[in-house]
Amino acid sequence: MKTVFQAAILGAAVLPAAPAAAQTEISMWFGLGGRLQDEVLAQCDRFNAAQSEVRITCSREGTYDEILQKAIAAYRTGNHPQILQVVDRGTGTMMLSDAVVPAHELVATYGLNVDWNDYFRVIGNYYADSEGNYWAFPFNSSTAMVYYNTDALAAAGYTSFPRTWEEFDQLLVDLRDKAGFSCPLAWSIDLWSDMEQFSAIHNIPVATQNNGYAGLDAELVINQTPFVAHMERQLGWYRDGLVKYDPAFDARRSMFVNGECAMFFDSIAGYTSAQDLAAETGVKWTVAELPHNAGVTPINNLVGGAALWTMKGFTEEEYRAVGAFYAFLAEPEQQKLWSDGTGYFPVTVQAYEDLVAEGYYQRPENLNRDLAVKSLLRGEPTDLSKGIRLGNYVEIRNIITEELQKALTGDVTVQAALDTAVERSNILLRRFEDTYAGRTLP
Amino acid sequence: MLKRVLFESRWLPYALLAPQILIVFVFFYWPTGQALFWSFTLEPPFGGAATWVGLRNFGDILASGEYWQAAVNTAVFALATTVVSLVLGLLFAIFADRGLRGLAIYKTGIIWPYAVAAPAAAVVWQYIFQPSVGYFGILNLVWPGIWNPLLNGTHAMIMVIAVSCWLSVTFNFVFFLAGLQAIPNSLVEAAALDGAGPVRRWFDLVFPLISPTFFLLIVLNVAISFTEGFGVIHVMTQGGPGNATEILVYKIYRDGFVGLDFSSSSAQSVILMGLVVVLTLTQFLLIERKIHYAGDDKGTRR
Repeated sequence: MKTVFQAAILGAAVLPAAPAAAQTEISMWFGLGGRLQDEVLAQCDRFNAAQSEVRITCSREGTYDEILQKAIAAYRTGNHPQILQVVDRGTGTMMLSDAVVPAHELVATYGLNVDWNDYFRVIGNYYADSEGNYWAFPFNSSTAMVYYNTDALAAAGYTSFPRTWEEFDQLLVDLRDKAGFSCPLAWSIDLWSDMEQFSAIHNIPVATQNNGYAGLDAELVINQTPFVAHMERQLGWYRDGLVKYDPAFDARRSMFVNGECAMFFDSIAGYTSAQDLAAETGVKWTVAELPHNAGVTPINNLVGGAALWTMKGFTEEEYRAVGAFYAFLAEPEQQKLWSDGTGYFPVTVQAYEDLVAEGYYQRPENLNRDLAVKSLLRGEPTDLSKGIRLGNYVEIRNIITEELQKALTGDVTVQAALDTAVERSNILLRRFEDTYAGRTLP
Repeated sequence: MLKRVLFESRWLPYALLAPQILIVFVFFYWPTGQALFWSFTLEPPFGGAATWVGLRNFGDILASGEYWQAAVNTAVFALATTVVSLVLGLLFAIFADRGLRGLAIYKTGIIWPYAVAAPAAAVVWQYIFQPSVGYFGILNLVWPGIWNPLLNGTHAMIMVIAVSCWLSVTFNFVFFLAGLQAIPNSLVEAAALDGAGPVRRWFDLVFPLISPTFFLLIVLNVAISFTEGFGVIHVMTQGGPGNATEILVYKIYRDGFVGLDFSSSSAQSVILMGLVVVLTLTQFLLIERKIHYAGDDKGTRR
């Protein structure tokens, strides 16, 4: 009797280990937090459950900026993961890093089953080289939207959301005077929507050399475009007391979902999170496309989000496992689950069309979510609406924000602030260019 | 005649020292050497061929207005936190040095904040200082716009100084209290019998006796304020608004880790290290002359 028990215990201990030996272990680092983190982990679990050859371990290693820092330290010591999620603005750094296997090479080398044409081109543009080859797999993609309180808009006498910034100015006044909102808009300086999206929609450059795509010698030109007037407009709202300023995103969102402020700007990726929060307070809301200047035909919004990069230094077996994971993510069913759970839109055309055909966007809880995809597909992308590919770009964004904050306190004019920002940023661009002396962007 | 102790073996002392030296080397000299090397190159984030650029990084730094702004911010921050937390620490210690009832409770209460990690404290204080929903929002209800650290650089600086002081007062308190309690009661009583009042006793007796403590704390506080403050600033202001609360150590972090400009960040570290060394040396040369260490002949030797 005793030996039977022992055998059973031994068997139980040994059995789970047996298939594990045949499994290929890979890992992915990602930077999404909160509800989005749960969705990434759920996706990894679904992959592990769906097959037995590969086991992926997904771990959140901090914010977008923090995982890039950690990955750099890890790569230098050889402890990096196979897959790294890198935010859009890190694309230039990754392409020049010599630390990655370009996605198109991975697919070609191992004969992986990936249909590049199924990815939305406007998303892939951000991560593609000058010949249109993908360097990373589009993962979480979003764009900026206006979130607004529908009751507030109705009380201000509106039946549809304004399409131009000029009308938006009036809307702020009406929300205050007619709808009685002391805070029509929870606001901060957010260069993603204020500068990147605005510039793409209006087909104006952020930097020379097609926003850096065509060469490392790019220089910022944001002090010479309609972006200057756009920031003056927003600082005007602040001076007129039409917006409540808070640089903390969570604070702006909570002012919106608790009904104190009638609008705020956020990524479409925040859709389900806002839904959860507003369900507790009962505030009714929906999303609208970002407005554009009057007299301008808007083209596509800029895609935002992050992509999955494959790191160098692993075996063929591991790269095949990585390929299997990417192929799994691109399956329409997985894209739909991911999009539904998060708010990001599907990155493949097939999955999006399936959702449209199913009537997904007609359901009350998903109303207007498709506006994000529509704003991305609006018009034909130009060389100025593909993305921003500048070195030291994370820091450059900090510099511009910092200088604009000085304009906000009234210390300097917007023009002067942007002149200083351009001057400071160009020094960083030259440092970046010299760091990679003799190299060119692919 | 000093008794000389010698090891019989030549290598034994080195073997005994080796673990220590190894630790110091791995955790101090190696990174410092690396930083020194990087400060003369342009280093790509993911590694690879670094370009030797001589003194360019230092030139770029010294030519940048933001760097000098950060230097001024650091001076203001260091001076204010050192003065305020030393004065308050001393004041609390003087009060606690008297035989009050429930003294143990006061002492524990004052020492407590030292156990709170800087970022944790900063999160709590951020809520308190928040201009619209925090406790300080009350000020704005009475006088609209009087308190806004989100936009006003001076307010933001006051805020991070206040929180840093709150964290370091306790450290000073512990040292001062120990210093005060080490003064023999007989001395104080003798002075009192001679007719010296509390103020007189303080300046002519107590202060000279705790001056070594005072000196130690000045050196420590100045050095610490140059490098600490990071946790508080990182959580509360991220160096903003504008760059009103960006101190040198925060700029090093931001340029290096956020901006991935390892070379500029290394060069700034080298400059900061030099600065702290010079400052500490100056303190030793200028202030230590005036210090009398009880129980040794250092004071009389000069």
